[in-house]
Amino acid sequence: MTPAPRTRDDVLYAFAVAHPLPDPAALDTYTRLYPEHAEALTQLALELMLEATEQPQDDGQAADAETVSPAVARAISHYQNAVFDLETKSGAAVANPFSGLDMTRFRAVTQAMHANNTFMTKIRDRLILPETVVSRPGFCNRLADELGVPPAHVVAHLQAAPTAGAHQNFKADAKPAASRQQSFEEAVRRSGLTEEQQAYLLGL
Amino acid sequence: MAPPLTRTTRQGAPYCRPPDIEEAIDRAIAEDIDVLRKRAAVTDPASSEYMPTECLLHLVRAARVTKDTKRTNHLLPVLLARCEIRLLRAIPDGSRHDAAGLRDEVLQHFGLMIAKTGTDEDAFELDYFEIRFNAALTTLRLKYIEKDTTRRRVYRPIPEQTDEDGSAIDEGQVLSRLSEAARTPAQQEHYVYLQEALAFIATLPPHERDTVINVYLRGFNIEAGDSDEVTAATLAGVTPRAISKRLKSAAEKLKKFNEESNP
Repeated sequence: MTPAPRTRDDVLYAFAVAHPLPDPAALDTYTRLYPEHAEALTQLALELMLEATEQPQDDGQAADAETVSPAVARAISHYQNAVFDLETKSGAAVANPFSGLDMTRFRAVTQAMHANNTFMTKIRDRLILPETVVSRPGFCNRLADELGVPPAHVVAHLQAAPTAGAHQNFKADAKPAASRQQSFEEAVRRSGLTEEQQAYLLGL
Repeated sequence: MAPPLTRTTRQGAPYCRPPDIEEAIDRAIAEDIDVLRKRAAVTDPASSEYMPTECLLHLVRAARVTKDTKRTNHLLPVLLARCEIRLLRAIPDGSRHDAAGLRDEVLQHFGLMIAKTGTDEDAFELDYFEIRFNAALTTLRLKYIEKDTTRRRVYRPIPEQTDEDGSAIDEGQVLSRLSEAARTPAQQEHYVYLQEALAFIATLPPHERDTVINVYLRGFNIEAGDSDEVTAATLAGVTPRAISKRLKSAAEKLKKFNEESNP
């Protein structure tokens, strides 16, 4: 079999995983095989040696599972955006995160959100101006958590075209079209929510 | 059993995970998410419940492929947190013009590779991370370090350092020899010396050890005319004079160590 061409990254990764504590023979072999990467290989070998000296077996240093640092939060956000971009680019439509919910589950999510069916139906059918919702990451993240989907999917759902409500029956000559009329705050104020529910949702 | 890796060696054979990683993955894929969450939080590698990072990564990749968002949401933050801890040590605040930004770039690149898993854009670079996670992360980190234009060159001759009185800090040239060996570790004698010297340096008090590494291996100046330049002194938060003292002390100890090791 003809060896595949090796990119610089390939060469460096291959060296690192094969020789996490590099020896001179290995480094010599690699630098002869890939003289164009000799400097990078030498630098990598030194870093691997330094790590072995400075940080023996610190693989499992305290990584608190319950708190997320700002850097990790930024990386997760970056990841979610990338996932959304990749799935959009591949032509795969982002599924409506509500579409798999039966009425019992829908009510459970509604209750967990401290909302009511009227308000959550507006969210589900995208009857709220999207920019007024996606500008509230607290709400989007909380909803994503309750729905068990990434926040990027909730954002994508909210930004898609409104639906006329697949769960409703219509008597009309023409196909009904949904229209967005309310901002997030208006939807909260005009859905029959209690004062406490309104305060909670607007405070997210 | 975990599916085989996709990346191949130079000879065209597929890479294999180490047996202990395969075992850890076999165990983990049989466990439910609640157990995995608890195990992912275990930080002691000696614990029987500890999950190697290679295994944790495998679970996250598998969850991404199957679009198991619940698993991803629970395990990805722990995986990224482990990366961040290593990056914080390798690129501490003050060591670069924008150390935090550099760490972010590495972390986000890593997250992007996970996002690409299972898509047409997946280059399977993460296979390397499933074999030796820390070594692969070091490789990725170096890629960004090289891009960091404010970083000083590591592999350069270190000019003779003198203290305020004009006397040589490294009188016996022991630290310069260390620096020279680091420039060409492929030479057998240099490698052997580096191994011995680094093992000895690890036993120095932390402030002396870090100073030696920063000046003679990472190439930072003791002080600089430009107040914005990161130096060994600014990294340690001490005066250049204190750095000189530390180097002199370390050089004397290393000289003694060399004499005893090679009488």
